Amino acid sequence: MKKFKKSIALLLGLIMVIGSLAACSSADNGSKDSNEGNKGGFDVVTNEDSIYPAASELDPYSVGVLLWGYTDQLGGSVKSNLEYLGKEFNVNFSFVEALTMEEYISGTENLIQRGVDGILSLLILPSMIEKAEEAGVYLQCILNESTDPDTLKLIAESEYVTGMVTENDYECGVAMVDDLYDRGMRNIVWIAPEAGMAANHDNRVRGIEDAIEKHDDLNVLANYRGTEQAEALQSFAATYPEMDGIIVTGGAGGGTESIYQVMQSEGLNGQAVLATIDIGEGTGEKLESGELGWIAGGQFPTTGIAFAVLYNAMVGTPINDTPEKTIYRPFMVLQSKDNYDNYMKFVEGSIPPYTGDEIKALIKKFNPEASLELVNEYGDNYSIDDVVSRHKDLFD
Amino acid sequence: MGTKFKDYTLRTIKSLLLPIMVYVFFLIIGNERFGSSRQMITIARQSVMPVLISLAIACNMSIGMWDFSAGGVVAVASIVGGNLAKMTGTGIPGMIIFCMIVGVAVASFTGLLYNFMKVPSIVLTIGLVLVYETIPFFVFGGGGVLISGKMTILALAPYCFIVLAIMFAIFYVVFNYTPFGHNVRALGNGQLIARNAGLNPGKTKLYSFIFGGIFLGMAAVMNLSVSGMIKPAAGMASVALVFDSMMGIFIGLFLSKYCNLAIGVTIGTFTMKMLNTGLIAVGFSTTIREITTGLFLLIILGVSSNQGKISEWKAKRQRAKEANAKYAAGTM
Amino acid sequence: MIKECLLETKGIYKSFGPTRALVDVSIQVCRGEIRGLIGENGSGKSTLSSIVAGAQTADKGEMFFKGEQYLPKGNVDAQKQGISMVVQEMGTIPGITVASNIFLGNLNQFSKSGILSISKMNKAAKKILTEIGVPEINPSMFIDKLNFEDRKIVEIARAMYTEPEVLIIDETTTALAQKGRTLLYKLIDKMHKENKAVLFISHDLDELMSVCNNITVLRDGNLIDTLEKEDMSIDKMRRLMVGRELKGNYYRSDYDGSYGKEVVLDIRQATTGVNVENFSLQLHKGEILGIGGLSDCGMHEVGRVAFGIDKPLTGEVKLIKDDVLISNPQVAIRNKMGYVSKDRDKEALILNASIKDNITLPSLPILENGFIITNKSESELANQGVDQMEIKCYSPEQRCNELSGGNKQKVVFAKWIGNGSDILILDCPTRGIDVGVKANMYQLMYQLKKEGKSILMISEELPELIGMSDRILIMKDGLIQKEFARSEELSEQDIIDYMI
Repeated sequence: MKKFKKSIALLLGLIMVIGSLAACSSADNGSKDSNEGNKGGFDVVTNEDSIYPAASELDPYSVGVLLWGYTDQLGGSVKSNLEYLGKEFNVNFSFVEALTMEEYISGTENLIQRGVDGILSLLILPSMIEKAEEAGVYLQCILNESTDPDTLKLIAESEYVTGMVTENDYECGVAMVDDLYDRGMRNIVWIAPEAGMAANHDNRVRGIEDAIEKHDDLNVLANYRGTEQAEALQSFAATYPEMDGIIVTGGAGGGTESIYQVMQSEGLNGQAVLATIDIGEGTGEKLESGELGWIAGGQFPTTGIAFAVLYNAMVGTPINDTPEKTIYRPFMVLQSKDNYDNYMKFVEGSIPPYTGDEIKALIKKFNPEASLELVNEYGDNYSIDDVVSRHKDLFD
Repeated sequence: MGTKFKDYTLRTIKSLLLPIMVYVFFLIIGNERFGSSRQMITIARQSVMPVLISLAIACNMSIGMWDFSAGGVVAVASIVGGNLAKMTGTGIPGMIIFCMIVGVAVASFTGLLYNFMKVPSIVLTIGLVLVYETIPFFVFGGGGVLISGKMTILALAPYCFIVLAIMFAIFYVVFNYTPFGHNVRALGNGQLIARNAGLNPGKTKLYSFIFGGIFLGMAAVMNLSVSGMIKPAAGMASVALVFDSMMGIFIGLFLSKYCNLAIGVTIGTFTMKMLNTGLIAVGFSTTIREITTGLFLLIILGVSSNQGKISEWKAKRQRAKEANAKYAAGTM
Repeated sequence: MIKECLLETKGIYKSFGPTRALVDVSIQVCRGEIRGLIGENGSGKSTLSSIVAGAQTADKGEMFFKGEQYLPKGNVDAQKQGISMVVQEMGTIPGITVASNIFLGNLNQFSKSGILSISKMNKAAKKILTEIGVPEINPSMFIDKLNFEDRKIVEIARAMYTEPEVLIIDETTTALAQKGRTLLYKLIDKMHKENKAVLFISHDLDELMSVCNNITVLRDGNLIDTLEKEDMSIDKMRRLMVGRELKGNYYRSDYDGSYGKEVVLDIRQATTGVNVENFSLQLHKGEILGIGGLSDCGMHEVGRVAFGIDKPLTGEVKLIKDDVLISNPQVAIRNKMGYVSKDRDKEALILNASIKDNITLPSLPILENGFIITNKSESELANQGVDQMEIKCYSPEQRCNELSGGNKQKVVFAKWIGNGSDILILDCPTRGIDVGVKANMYQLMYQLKKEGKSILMISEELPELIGMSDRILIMKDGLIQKEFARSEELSEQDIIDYMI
């Protein structure tokens, strides 16, 4: 019995040591080229010649944010971007995590009780709209859209829902197929999360399927929808030696890195080209080597645009008459190492892709020419070259 | 000796019949896309991690304990163990040691809690899944773990098979040739009698969790090696790892009539992976593959549960026929 | 010659809640003694033996073994000190080998550096099995492959491998057939010759008288008397056990074997999977029809077919009155049939349920009022059953697994009587029950017969069949060999030739 108790004590001690080692570890997970989103925060861009009021001159507002989380790459970047805008606009952001519909609804209630003026949310639900209207709080959908007809009807009729801004996932799916086809790939596979798991992935898949239909000589060898994406790719590699194109819409637990791992272990590098989403670790090298041909990402600046639409409503100059129509923005697409280097400098660097002034230009109260058309123009122009051309002087 | 050899051969054939049947079936209908050695090696590689998890779970299931937290343990061990290895710069040996220590530590915690709280294992382990999945969000900045280059070499053949062979040997020896293994089986088949014979159920169950933790730690090493990057995941996503392994266990239990449980579980897992690859070769979509896999498992379990019923029915019919004949002939 | 006292208990007390199982019990068992221990169910004999074997601890009192204070921490510790026990219930674990079962809890002796030497263990097991007289049992075989009796023998091997000084046999012989009993008697004899001791618990008074040197009688937890060989007699033992003269006959006193002309149950040309082929019988109103034979003659299968548990492969079982074919137990119960299974704990009772739940179970459709069954109606029926059968319990809510064997059997009877069963199929109804309860059961059966109920009694005890039946059918190899009518002159010898 004594021996047994000693063993238990040793075990518990071990647990405590490992627990404290893990808990006290640095924030950096040890990787050199970490791309965890700009968790360090963006610098405030001081422009003495600005025609727009400084933050100190603006009325304070409070805005709540409802999102899946803020520790992953995209979530972290969203948070950094909004915190930056908060400094530029004198807006206090409250970040709340929500995963289930119930959490979105209760999150809305909590934010309203905290006295927010507006809410940026991944999901827009009828009960959220109802609560926002009761409280006179504005609601803006970010990085997502609703396709439910009843919800869209409510959005259209509501004075407090300011709109939905998201990337065009459908077009992204089309672009992935078209790019591989243009490169000469004729035997492709595509991989996505389970149907119904996330609307954006489903929209990407719709785009993929429609684009495939367009090309008669494009052969889809196999597809997979689920979480075991790396394993699926392994099986495809073993079954289809003629495979030359791989499309992955994302959503796997191991991220794009696990796909790269499989490509390496199965000897696919040089044989097949990957088109995928979510720029991350190792993207630059992969683009340089050619195993990665097309990658989309850079979604977080969309939240700045969404914030602009919301802010307009909060200050009394709404610009979106048709909130039930989604404002689509393109993904940032990278196709070369240079693209990637510029992306890391100009998008994930110390200055956000849209500075405070650039967002203020979308606020009708500050710029009488601000309008929905201008918002769409921002979207139409959005690309890595666009960001470089706008901000290269800021880095000199 | 002759009878023994014959019996052994017969049991071996029966054990291997299922995977052979699956292989031959897909070889025939697979449009020449199934059956290559490369494919078989890929399937074997894909089977390594689920087999390790299956062995961990099988030990607990022998004593009537479910462990749905196994996937969560693998997730924690991957992230914590992997990061510790990187922090200390100890490479693959460090990764193995740290992942196994974390796997054992977390699994032991499950065992201690089970003994202390005395709630059904299924309830406890489902609850712990939520806890274990959350831990990675709070450690190492919540970013998960990323390894690359030489550190992922264990995912490749023949290294993954060497790992599997070593772990399999450990399980086989411990389960069949140690007092602990015998006690586990005794407790699993007659807890009251075993307790009266001096076995300590609480102690044995705890040791079972600890023993399972070794395999979960190694599964974490394989998980890392295959994926390269593990991100924290919530919403009981890790339970999917357990379900994959459960399928192997169910088939393993079915085959345990003919072979050792460890061998049965390995065959079962390999067969399920081969089935999946075969369905890909045939060109089935994901949905159809999942339905087919589910049906396959149901059929196996149905046959297993009803084995002997057909021969029993035939024997009954024969007996009735003979009895009626005798009665009619008045030979009573 | 002064005998050396091997085992002594002084003032042992043990209670289970309000029930006093042992009250100031002091016994001495000396070297060379084969001590029988008898008593009604609930007398405390199993409690005493389990305390001595280390399975339980006494509330008060002392024990001495070989002159030293004896405080076993458990079964294993008791066995290490030299006291082993073999119990009535199944004590082996399926799914592991014979050798593993024998050395259960003591495998470390065969391990080196943590690795178990299977060959060493098998060798040691083989030695023990040979010593006790069963060299044909293969120690490396999985125990599932052995029949019930051989498994019991393995348990005996487990008890014997530590060469105990005191062997406790707790109602084991009921589970053994001829082979097993012979083996056990040989072992007992060996223990006697080696100047060791045996504590032998059994309900078979004849067996006890032939095997034991002396017999201790317990009643209601108290030690009543210890009878030496010359003082032993069946009547005396019964009287001491029950505490009263068993007035009248133990069985029914009449020799009138008459019964109604009306046939209530007709089994015609029934064939089962094993043992029974083209079997036919008719049970009459107000009849006690006994079926006897060796254990595997097919009589137990007849009982199962009659109640619809097993469907006959040929022929039919019919209730004549309403022309109903008995195809399953639900039909049988609906038509007022009851069945007392030989395997009481597994098939006749839900041990984890209360007495009330067990008694009311088949009567639920009768108790139902609309869709509701009230607690009141259930309690009334349960209380009626408890009173009628004189079940010893603290309340009908008491769980059945806390009752003695006799009281459990009373619950089973109460269940079927409460249901108003007109036809009762009783398979070994008094197995493992003490004489007092047996006498009560026999009186009850006779009363039921007088009320016009019909009883099909299947029994392995010839005295019981002769004592209670209006007719006796003797079976062998699935067929009726001979029918006997009730008669004062009928003896076991008349019957036995047709059985073997």
